[in-house]
Amino acid sequence: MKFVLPILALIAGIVAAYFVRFPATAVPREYVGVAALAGFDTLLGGIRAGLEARFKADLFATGFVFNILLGMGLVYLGTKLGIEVYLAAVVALGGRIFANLSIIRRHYLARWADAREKRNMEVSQL
Amino acid sequence: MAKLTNTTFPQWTAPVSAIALVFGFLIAAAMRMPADPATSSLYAMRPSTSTPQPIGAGIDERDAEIKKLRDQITELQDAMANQSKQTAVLNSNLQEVKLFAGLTEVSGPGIEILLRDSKQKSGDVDVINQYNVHDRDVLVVVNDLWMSGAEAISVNGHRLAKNSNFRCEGPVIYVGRVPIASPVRISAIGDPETLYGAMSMQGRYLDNIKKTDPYMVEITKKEKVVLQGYTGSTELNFTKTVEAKQ
Repeated sequence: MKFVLPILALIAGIVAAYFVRFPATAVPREYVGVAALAGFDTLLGGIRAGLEARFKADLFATGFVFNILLGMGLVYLGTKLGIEVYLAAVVALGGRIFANLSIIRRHYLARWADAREKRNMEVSQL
Repeated sequence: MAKLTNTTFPQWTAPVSAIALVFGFLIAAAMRMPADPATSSLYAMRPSTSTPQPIGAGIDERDAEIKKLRDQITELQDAMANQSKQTAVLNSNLQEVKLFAGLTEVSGPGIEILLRDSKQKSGDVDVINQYNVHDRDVLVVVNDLWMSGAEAISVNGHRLAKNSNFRCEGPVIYVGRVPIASPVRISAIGDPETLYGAMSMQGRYLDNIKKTDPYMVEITKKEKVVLQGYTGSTELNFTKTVEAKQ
């Protein structure tokens, strides 16, 4: 039930993007890509914090904004230096996405294992 | 009720949903964007919504009218020339100047050069550029023709005069104000042997295009080439004749 609202919002966001016309050369693709990656990282970080019951809205919001600004800053720096510095943001955010996803996986796996153990104990008591 | 909300929809779901909305938008936006803005010059090269077709159609009609009127002028000048010896001399001088300016229909031996877009396909933008006929190709060929002694040149039936120019405009090449596209037929009057030899010389511009794809260039000698007169504007706004000093 927890994920109904976020999933609906995700779908709404995707649908909204299909109704917007993008001019061919408005924003280079790298900027949007890094912003999307920062959004995904923040999303998983928020879910993880929520599951661990230590979610803080201010931390969440500032994390999103600053990650995007830093990522876009690195893309811009990359265009000026001729080095693809934004790969640093891609690697860092990508690593965190994997880490957060594994923690969320562990959280649910542990709950599932607990439930099975409990059931086994009930069966053995009979 | 408040408790139910807290367990089924914990407080953190609201901000997470907000970010999910933004994330969904961004990822879909990133996917819908063109692959690389650097190569999007192809987008810029596409014809704008107002295609040049209707303009071109009107030009043909006006060209025919200009030709008719200029022929009438020549007739009137000839008629006036019959009045006396002086007017006859004046007129022959005048016709000579008009011939030189390219305002009259002319014919003579020469060559014809056909430039065509290659039929080969490629996914590489740079290679596609080599397979197409560009304004620069026409410009260089015309310049080489003048260099080789051509006396009159016309491109796709449009006679070149002193202010003729070529420019690339999206998918077409403009000869002055007339849009043309591949195949481009360049006809020139001059010594056929000299012109043919000069234009088919190894290592020159046309030879290089031929190396890309032999289909793109075709040079033929002609016994008789007929070139229409120049139908563009002859109006001068700034140039005035300097009075001869006494």
